[in-house]
This record gives sequence, C-alpha cells and structure tokens, in this order.
Amino acid sequence: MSRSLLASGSLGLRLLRREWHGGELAVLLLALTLAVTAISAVGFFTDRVGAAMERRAAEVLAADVVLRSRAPLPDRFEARAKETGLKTAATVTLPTVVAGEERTQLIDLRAVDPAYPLRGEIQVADAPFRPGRPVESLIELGEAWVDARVLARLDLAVGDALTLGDHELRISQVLAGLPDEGIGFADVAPAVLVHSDELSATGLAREGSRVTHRLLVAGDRAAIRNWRQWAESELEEGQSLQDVSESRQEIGAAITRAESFLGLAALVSVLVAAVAVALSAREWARRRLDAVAVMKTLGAGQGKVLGLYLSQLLSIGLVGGGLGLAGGWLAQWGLVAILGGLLGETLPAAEPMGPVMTGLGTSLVLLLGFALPPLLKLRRTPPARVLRRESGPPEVGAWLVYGLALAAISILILSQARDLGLALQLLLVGGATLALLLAGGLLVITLVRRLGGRFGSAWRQGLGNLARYPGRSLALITAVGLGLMVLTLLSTVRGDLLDGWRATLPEDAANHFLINIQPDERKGVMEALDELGARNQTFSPLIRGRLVAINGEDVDDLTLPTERGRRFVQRDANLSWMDTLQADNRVVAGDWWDGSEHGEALVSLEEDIAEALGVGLGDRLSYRIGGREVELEISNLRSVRWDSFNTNFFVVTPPGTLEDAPLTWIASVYLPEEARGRLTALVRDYPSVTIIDVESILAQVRQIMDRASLAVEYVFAFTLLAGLIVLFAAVQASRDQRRFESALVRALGGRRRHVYATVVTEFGSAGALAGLLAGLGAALGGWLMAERVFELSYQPPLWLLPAVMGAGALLLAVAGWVASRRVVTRSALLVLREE
Amino acid sequence: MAESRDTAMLRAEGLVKQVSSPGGPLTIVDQVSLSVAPGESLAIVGASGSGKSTLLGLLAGLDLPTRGRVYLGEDCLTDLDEDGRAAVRARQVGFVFQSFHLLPGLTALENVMLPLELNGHPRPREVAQAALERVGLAARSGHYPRQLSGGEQQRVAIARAYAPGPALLFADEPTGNLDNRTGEKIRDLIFDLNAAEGTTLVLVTHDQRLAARCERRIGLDDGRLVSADEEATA
Repeated sequence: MSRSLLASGSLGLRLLRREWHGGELAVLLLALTLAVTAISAVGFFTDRVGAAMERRAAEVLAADVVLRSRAPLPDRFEARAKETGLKTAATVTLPTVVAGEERTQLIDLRAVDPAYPLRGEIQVADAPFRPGRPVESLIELGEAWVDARVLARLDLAVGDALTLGDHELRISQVLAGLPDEGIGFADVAPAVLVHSDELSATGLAREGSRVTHRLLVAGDRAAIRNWRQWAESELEEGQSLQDVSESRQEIGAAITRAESFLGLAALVSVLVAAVAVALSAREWARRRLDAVAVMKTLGAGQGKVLGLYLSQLLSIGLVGGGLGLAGGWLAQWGLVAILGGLLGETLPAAEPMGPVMTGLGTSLVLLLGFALPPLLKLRRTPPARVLRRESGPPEVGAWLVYGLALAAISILILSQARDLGLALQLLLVGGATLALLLAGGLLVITLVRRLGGRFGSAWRQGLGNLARYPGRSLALITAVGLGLMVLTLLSTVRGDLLDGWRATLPEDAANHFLINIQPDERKGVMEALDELGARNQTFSPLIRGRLVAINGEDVDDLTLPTERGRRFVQRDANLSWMDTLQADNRVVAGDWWDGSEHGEALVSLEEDIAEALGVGLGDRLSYRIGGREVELEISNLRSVRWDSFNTNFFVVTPPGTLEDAPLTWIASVYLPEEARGRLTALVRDYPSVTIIDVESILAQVRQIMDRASLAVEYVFAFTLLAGLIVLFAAVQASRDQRRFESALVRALGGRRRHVYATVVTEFGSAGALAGLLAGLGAALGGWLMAERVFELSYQPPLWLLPAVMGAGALLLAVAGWVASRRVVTRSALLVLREE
Repeated sequence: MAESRDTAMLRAEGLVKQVSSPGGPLTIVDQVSLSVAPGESLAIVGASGSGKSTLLGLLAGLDLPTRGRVYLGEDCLTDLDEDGRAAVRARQVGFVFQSFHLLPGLTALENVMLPLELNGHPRPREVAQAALERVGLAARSGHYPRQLSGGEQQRVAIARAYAPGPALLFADEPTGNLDNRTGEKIRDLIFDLNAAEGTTLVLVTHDQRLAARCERRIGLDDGRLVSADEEATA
C-alpha cells in the first residue's frame, strides 16, 4: 500500500513537471507564492519592527534586561554576558542626603559605569527646568551630574562643589532626565550621577545602607534570551530580573496595543491570501476533472488519484512556500530601505526561523485547508465523464469543506495573533461576514432570477448570468466580498482606530506629577500651579496601606497564585478614593458605587491585580493604614488604560470610607513649556512636594503610536496586493466558461459591445453586492474591535457603505472588462473548435 | 448458450439503466443481454440518444447499471466497487473515444505512457515509443495535442489504447469527429491493429462503414436491442 502510494506520488511529480509545460499550474503557484510572500514579508518585517519597538521600550530600563540585588552581584553574571557578546553596565544606587548651606535634600545617588545607559539617553539642560537635550560626553572621575530639583532646592549651580559623604565633587551637568528614572509615587528622590569608581571614596555604601546593585545587559535578541534563561536558573535569594514587559506600565500598554494593530494587519493578509488560494485551488481541481476521468478509465483507483494529486499539491505548496519566502525576504528589505530613515534607527535583524516556519507552515495549512476539499471531490470524479461530460463528482460534505477551512483559519489566526481575544473576535467577525455574504448573495441571486425579465438585453443577460450560475456567482461575491471587507476594515477602520488611539493622548495630557502634597498645602499648590498657567489639574488623595489579610486570613499564611501578587503584598500600596469613575477606567465586573454607598467599607480593584491576588467580587481585603486595620469588600473590578497619563490606582474606595486616615495628595497637571523654568519657586515654597517630569515618557508613548501607525500602513500594502490576487483568481475562475459563451454569442451575431456590456453588468452588480455586504461586515467588525480590543468608541462613517459598494462595482466591472478583452479579441471559431 | 458463457470475453445479463428526470424515472438501457467471444469484433449501432454510449459505459464498468450484471472474463464488474472495476480495466481494457480525451498538458509520447505508468509498467517510455511508431507518429512524439490535427490526435489515442496490450478494446464513435478520408485511415488502423493483436473489439458508432467491418452488429433503439444479428445469438 505504501509502495503504491509512493509510486503514485512519484508519478504525480512527473505529471506535475509535464503539465507545467502545459502552463495551467502557473496560476495556482502564483497565488500561493504571492500569498506566502505577503505573509512572510509581514512576518519578517513585523518581527523586525516589533524588535525595534521593544528596543525603543527598553530605553525606559536603560537596558534589555536588568539584574538587581541588594547585595553585590557575583561576577559570573557579567562574565557570562560578555562571553556571549552582550554589552553590560553596572550601577549602584542608594538613597542619601546632601546638605546645602541652609537646607538638606534626599537624593538618589547613582554610581554608574561610563557605558551607562545601554539603551536610551541621559538628558541634560543648560539650567534647571529648561528643556533637555541628549548628553554628548561620558561621565568622568570627579564629576557629579545633578538633578535640577537638587540644584533648585540647595541653591547650587554648574561649577559649584557638591559634598557626598566624605568626598567632594564638581557639578558639571544639570540632569533633566534619565531613561530609567522611577515613577512610583513614593520613594522618588532626584538623582545625582557619579562615576562608579567614586562610590568607595564617599564612604556612603556602608553596612546597613539601602544599596541596590544593578547589572544592565543589552545586545542581540537571541543572546539576550539565552542569557536571561541562564541567569534565571542562577538567581539566588534577593536577586531578581527585570525586562521591558515588566517595566513602566504606560510604555508596556502602548506596545501591547501597537502589537495588536500589527498582528491584526498581518492576520488580515493571511485571510485575504486564504481566499485567493481557495479560489485558485477550486479552479485547479475543476480543470483536472477530465484528466481524472481519463485516468480512471485507464485503470487508476481513487487512492492512486488522491496520491498523485496530493503529491502535486504538497510540492506546489513547498515550491510556492519557498518562492514566497524568498519574495518575502526581498520585500521586507525593500520595506526596510523605505522605512529605515522614517523609523530613525537601523532595524534589528529578523530571526529567520520564526517567519520561515510560519511561511512554509502557512503555505501547507492554506493548501490543506482550502485545496484539500476540491481534491477530495476530484478523486470521486466518475469515470463515465469520458462519455458524458456533464457528469461531475458528487459534492463533498459541507461540514468537511467548512470544517477544514475553519480549522485552517483557526490555526493561522492562533499562530499569527499575539492576542487571543483579538483572534477570536476576528474569527467571529469573519464567520459572521461569510454567513452574511452567502445568505445575502443567495437572496439577491434568487431575486434577480425572479425579476430578470424586466431589464434590457445586455442587462438581462448579465444579471441572468448571475442567477444562471449560482455557484460561480456565489464564489465571486463571497471571495471579492471577503477581500473587500478586510481591506475596508484595514483602510478606514484602521485609520479611525489609530486616530482614536492617538486622541487618547491629547496635546495637554498631564506631563508633570506632584506628589507628597500635605493636606494643608493643597490649596497653596493649586494656586501656585494656576499662576504658572497649568492646565488639566487633577488632585487625588493618596493613602499608604499594607494588605495584611484576605478574607480574614493573614497574607503570610496564604499561597498567592502569582509572583506579582506576592510582590504586591510585600510593600505598601497606594489607596485612593473616587466619587465617579474616571474616563480611562472601565468596570469589568460588579457595579460602580452610587451616592448611597459612600462611606461604606467597599473597594474597587484593578482587574490584573485581582487576578494576581486570586480574588474576586465579594472577597474581603484587610489593609493596615496608619496603625489601624480596615476591612474592605470588593464591590467591583476595573480595567485601566495605563497609557492615558492620568493618575490611576490599583485600589480605590468610595469617598468617606478612608477620610480620617493619614493622607497626602497627588496632582497630575499639564505644564506649558515656558512655565517649567519657574518651577524653582514652587519647589522652594513646598519643600516636601516632589515634582516628576513625565514629558519624556509622554514623548516616547507618542512616538510608539506614530511608529505603529506607520508600520501598519506598510503592512497594509501587502494586504492590498493579496486582495488583487483574490480579484485575479476570482475573475480567472470563470474564464473558460466565459470564453466559450462569448464566442458563441459572437458566432450567433452578437456584437463585441454587447459582450462587454453583459460582462460589465454581471461583474459590476456582483461587485456592488459584494461591496454592500463587505461594508456591513467591516462596520460591524470595526465596531466590535474598537469596543472589545482597543477600548475606544467607534462610529462607522456614513459614506462607508455607498463608497465600498461603488468601489466593489467599479473594481469588478473593470476587472471583468479587462478579462473579457482577451476573450473577445480571440477568434470565435478557434475558441469553439477548442471546446 | 452454455458454451458461450464459459468462453465469453464480455457478457451482459439483463442490463437496465434508469436515471431520474423531472418527469419521473427515465429508462436509457432496457433489458440488454449480450455476449462477446474472445477476438470477436462487435458494433453497437443506433441513432443519437438510443443509449449506445450509456451501454458502452456499463459494459466497460465506467458506470453501474440499475439492474443486471456484467462479466468481463472471470470478473463480475457489477459486484466490484469503483476501485475494483478500475483494477480490472487496468489489466484488460483499452479505450478510444470520439473526442480523443488526450491530456492537453502532456506530449503525445507522455499521453501514451500514462496508462503504463499508472499501472506500474517497468519500461513505459520504450513501449509507448513503439506504440507511436505503429500508428506512424514516432516523429511527433514531442508534440502537444493542440499541435496535432484531429486525425493525429486520434492516432495517439489509439496508440495509448493498444500500448498496454489490452484483451478488450472499447471504442466510442472513434471516427465521429473526423472527416471521411481521415476516418477511413483510422478505421484501417483500428482493424489492422485488432487483427494483429487478436484483441476483442466492442465499438459504438453510427458510421455504417465502420460497423460493416465488424464481425457482428447489434442495433439499439430507445435502449432496447433490435437487430436480427443479436436475436440470432440470443
């Protein structure tokens, strides 16, 4: 059995080679090659863009991975990193106090290698609170680079001496920003940067001081991954690893969203390609019906036929996959050449294994999912077809056709999507659209059949063709409709979604946070901010509390489900109260409180933290706040848009519940650039208030948004190309039949104009119908994605439906006209003779 | 009758073929019984729509009858599934069709090689080349069907039919698509080869000159056997 299968496989390959000269297979191979080209170019490119974005995000860590510890780090971590070609920098930080003539200031002393930072830049300014620029020199021995706030507080300037412990240094730069400055609401002290060799001279790093040792590591992605994996297994008590995904929430959220957009674009190319493959495979099988009937007459069984064509299909898949990969590789280089400058840096090299496997796998999955059903049908061609040409194979079961296609689509989506939720939504929208297209198409075809007699001759014939070949018309409408739908979704909805995303960060988004405002200072700070021309001020109460028990059980005795949860209970949390739900928050479970519940022992928890702690609605959390214990019941869970740059809290109570607890206020505010130089006065008047400048983070998030938009635009070009192949394949599919009919019409005295009018009518109305259904699908899909995935509100524009209908009609009418030009210009006699 | 049952190359018993139509079941072949001895040549003649081609399909096992049985040598075709019938055809049967049925993507030589390759022949190229020589087309072995005339295409089809050395050859209107002169050449070729190979020949035609060259003729009218020739043997 296996020998005969092998024999038919090898015969299949020989036949493939011979039939290739006949020229019929070129169309299928082209469709497949272009499909894989699109997919793999997207794969290679998004891989590189994704890596570039990760690297950009790595700037907030100043490295790709950071190893931190309270105790000095053993040399083996650095040695191993250097062995594998990675860059390293060690930093030691400790909080300490510097004294000026009249005042003292708590600082975050950082002793760093000159190589610091490995990612991102140190920003310096000419004077305190002036706009920063990247520093051009490395820190040298004897120098101190000092945060503007320290200079303002202590009345110091560049060139002055700064005493650190037993050591005196010269202030040589005003620090405006460090890539990895923290933004936790507590413990943020302004930084003073010194050379790492100076630390011992200060005598500050003594036993008992709160020293943190960090090893910063950066470099090639694979090497980083290996080093990280190795280091994880080497970690000792008190050492921990940190990478981008665990760093700042604003950036992390922005990247996740950017990846969702890119993943969406890539997925859409795959789905459009699938339509093209399905169409061309159907045609490929149809054109082999006669050959299979002849072979069966000559004694070939079903198994032999299947083996023969399966081997052809697989080799077409491999060749198409290989050519597509090569094409994809070239195409992504073209993209990089165009995009390199725009992205402002060289893109990291792609890791080929992922895209190569995806490309080949996609090619095979596409063939098996979309070409296997026609092949299974082909195998059952009755041999009697050699005598009666009209006898075709029985239809294969619908569950098999749709089941295989659905399985293939699911595999493709699950393997491509970075976001399962998005993938499932897409599947749902795709399924709904397909059903809509099939049902709508059938309905219209039936209507046309009933009303057909009322139109003029060419119209009647064109519309009649739609009704006369329901299978062919449905395939055309469905394929073009699906293609149009995803293209519409991408071209209009994409723009709206990206704009909506950008709009979440308005021009006057908060760029400064003021923390540690005492209750009696609140009014004064407000007035001072007003004087500075600050906009968008929001003040929130901040209460420090430690989670001590869940449902009455001590957290030390509980086994929490995640590492994040364990970290959460090991330190004080920031609690706040809120009357109304902020615009960037959404209740995902339970209900937000109304006025009658103010003062009750309720709490609203951020959903990820609830998951990390393993708690839900109705669970009770006990917080120790200022020596008193308060038990709060979880009344709702919230999702929070962390990239909104508003003040947000994991734990929120109703007003009146915690009002007598010790508290400070935190303000978020937009300060116009010209007001920043005058912050010095506010710092002096309110010495306990700490100002945090998040302008640079804001700029980073905006840049990520812009880059993501740009990347999606380019990925979109490939989807367009895939759409064109669908159109080509759809028009090709009925070519034989159309050629014969047009020859017949002309032989019977019909004029070319009549043939053109018929074709344009048929294709144009199919296109308009496909456009109508595609527009509906795109509007529905866009709304679903906006609501569920991107958490934005979305209103499909009114012009969407007529525009997509018009575009569909025009596209198909032109395609039909071009395709029939070749038909019409051939001699009718020749065509009829060939039949 | 008992004698012919033992020695018959092809035998049909009470064949009926019905198909469903909008006006109820339609009988295309009605109670046909016949028997063909090894080496014999039989022409089935009849007007268009008389059911000749359907009968040929049933006799060759390309299609199954609604009722009745077909024996090809020792094998009862009607008891076998489609793959089983294909295996019988592979061993014993060759075909020539009205519309040639050459695969357009294959050259003349490759078309002739196809049945040999499908059935695992050890030297398909040599045998196919020899078959093309016998039909006088050795020089055109590298041509594709579209580059050949109708008569040449039918000669390639005849070479394909004879190449595996079948015991039984079915021909469906082999001259139906050809002009008189070319048809004459094809007729000569079929009967010359048939004589040389000792092949049993069953052909369907309304070409009287072709039918006249067969040893026996039966007529078919509206699915029923009508010719006196057949009555005599039945």
